[in-house]
Amino acid sequence: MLTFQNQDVLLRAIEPQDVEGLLTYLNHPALTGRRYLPWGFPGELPLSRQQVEKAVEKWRGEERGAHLAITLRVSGELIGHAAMTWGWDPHCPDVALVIAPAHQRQGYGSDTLAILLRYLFENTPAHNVSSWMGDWNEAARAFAQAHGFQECGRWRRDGLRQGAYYDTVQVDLLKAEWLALQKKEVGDGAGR
Amino acid sequence: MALEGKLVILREERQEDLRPLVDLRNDLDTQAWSKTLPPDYTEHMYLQRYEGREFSYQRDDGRFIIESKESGEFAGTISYTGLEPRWTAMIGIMLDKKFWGGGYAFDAQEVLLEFLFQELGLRVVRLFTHSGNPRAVGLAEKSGFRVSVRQRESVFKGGQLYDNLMMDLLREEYYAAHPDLEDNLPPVD
Repeated sequence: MLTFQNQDVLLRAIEPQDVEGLLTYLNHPALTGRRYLPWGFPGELPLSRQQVEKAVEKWRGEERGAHLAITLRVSGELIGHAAMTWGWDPHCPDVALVIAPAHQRQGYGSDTLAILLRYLFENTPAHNVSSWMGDWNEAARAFAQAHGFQECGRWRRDGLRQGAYYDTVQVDLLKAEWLALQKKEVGDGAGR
Repeated sequence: MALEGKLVILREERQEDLRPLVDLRNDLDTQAWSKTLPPDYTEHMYLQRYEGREFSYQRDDGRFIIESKESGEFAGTISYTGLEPRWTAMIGIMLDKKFWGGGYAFDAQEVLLEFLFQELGLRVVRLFTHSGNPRAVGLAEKSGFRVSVRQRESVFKGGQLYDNLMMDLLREEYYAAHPDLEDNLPPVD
């Protein structure tokens, strides 16, 4: 059965009522430069309610992908947002996810990524899934690596941060690699 | 002052260019995208695109016709898109096969790069191509671009899987290769 939930999180469509929650965590200092917004929205400046409303409207209107609210299954609390978009080519979609600082390091990012990848590799023609993060974002790079992504290059000089240029690291994951990881996880689980 | 190189002039698109633009788009060898488009574009479609351009001082693209200086003929098209002012833009080029191998694409690319670095003050220029297009890779490398991203097996064309390539050229790399030009843009780092 196609499902966008596991025992802890439920991914659902982003709705206008999410603006309040998004506004709160997107403006959290810990998310500066790592909050994943539509192209052209500021990555580091304080966001107004109007800007968040515009972002939500853009996400809700996505026709070639999905932008999803990450919520806790039990309480329904909004704890982050995620995206999978494929533009004109579902052969190589992108994924992105943001977890509110108060809910990080509890496995919700891994839960979300697992749901997104399973959807893409089992329900769409996806062959190569990619994502991006600033080279300074060691946590995101380690997270991607831990989930099987490889660094496939750098967008050199993609921005400026604290007085220095930074590169954006691109990572990708092939379907065959994802399938091998699934088998390994099943194997590891069976061995316990 | 026109955008002029040794072999080409880059000029604005005119209505008489629509037919050769359609021909470039409908030739699988010249349509240039990693995405293969159906070779059924019409002049009417291109007229719509041409007439759909609106006047603005806040544009994030530039689209030029490459014209042979010698003959005045249409030789192709070159453009930049996704302009982030004083930072970056993406370039793309399509050249009529008749002009392949004559240095026209390189000349047009150099003229556009000088405009982007000297006039628009960009820090980095990027382009996309794929591993099945060695001509495009070679052309970019000739101007100093290097492959910075190789997304594996993400392009499918001509029955083959190829790597999607993002190539980039930094401002200081451009000026190092053009000692005749002086970089007076204040550094940001």
